[in-house]
Amino acid sequence: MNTLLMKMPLFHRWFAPKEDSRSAARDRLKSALVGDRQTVAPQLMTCLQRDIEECMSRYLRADKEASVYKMVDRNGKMTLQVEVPVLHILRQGSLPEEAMKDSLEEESVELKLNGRKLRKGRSRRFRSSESE
Amino acid sequence: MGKVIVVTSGKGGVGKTTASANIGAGLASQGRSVVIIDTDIGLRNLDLVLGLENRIVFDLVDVVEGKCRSFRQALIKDKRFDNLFILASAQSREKDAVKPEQMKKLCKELEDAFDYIILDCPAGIEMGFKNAIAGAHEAIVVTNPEVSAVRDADRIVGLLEAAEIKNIRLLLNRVRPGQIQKGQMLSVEDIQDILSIELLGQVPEDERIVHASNRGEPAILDMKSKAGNAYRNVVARILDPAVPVSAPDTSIWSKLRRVLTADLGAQAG
Repeated sequence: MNTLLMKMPLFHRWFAPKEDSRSAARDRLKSALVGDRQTVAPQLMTCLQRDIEECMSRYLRADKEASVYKMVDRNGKMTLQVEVPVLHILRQGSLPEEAMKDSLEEESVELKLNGRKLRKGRSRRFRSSESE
Repeated sequence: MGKVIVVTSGKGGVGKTTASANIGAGLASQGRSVVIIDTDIGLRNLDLVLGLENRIVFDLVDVVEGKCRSFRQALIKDKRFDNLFILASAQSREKDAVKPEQMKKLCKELEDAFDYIILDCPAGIEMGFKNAIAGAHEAIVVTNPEVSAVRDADRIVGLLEAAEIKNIRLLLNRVRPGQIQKGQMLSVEDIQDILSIELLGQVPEDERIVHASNRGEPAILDMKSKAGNAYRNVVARILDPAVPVSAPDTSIWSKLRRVLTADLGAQAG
């Protein structure tokens, strides 16, 4: 009787434990593809490391020799793990100006707005000078 | 000038030949002139799927080797459509009997004579694949909602991008909506997320596909076939990308079941 009930779609949905293999497929595929794409591009890690180092050099001096860059599996999620010993952070004068701002986001929004206002103002001025 | 579209997958058995035959027949049914080329040298199949196996005189290798006067002599006209032709592959030759430059040249010639040139690509990423993509402008990557097929599709997309084929679209074949709903199959969204290429269409698993190929009739002409219905949507989307992708599971009964189970699932949960 029980098995007969379980064969009916509604009872099956109510009582059977949900067998989910879809998320397993998704997660396993994703991490397999990280490996695949890396194998296909053997220089990927080297190029990635070079570009990250170039970017970091605007802010700090890193110990490149002792740096570690690798892809690791963290609970089924591929993670880029970067460990960079910092020798020193650059002095005020050498850092990008934005790095000294109190809050970057608001400033840049304001800057953009100002830019737009300025441009508008300029064009208006231009038009008025034309009419004159 | 005609469009050259390669139908490829990496993995074998996902439905490349069926897709090529149905898309070709569908485009022909919409009044376009079409030639489908079977580029799987040594493993000829397209002719059988379309019921044209008894009409082959010359094949792809004969054309590139110049054994017939022009490609026209080797083209086999379809029984159903006057504007649909196939070029069969050679059964007794090796994959390296054709070179990519030769395929490129042939595609160029065909571009002037047809609206669509569909290339049915062999499985794998070796010579046969390189030949098939050499002259292609666009690609349709066929895959199934299985980890192995999706992984191979990812590799193929990488190779197509490296070959600078710009328009690469995904055709998801053998979809079982019920199984996806139960959480036992990768969904269309999952696969799109993983492969991140545009979806051309999704074709449901359909027993009538085998029934159609048994008789050498494309399923797209079978009005009872769910897969045929999906292929009609695919063809409409090839002709006009603004047409939306149709979901495969649209029968009244399955809609009703989906509503019911969703409600019950919510109650149970």
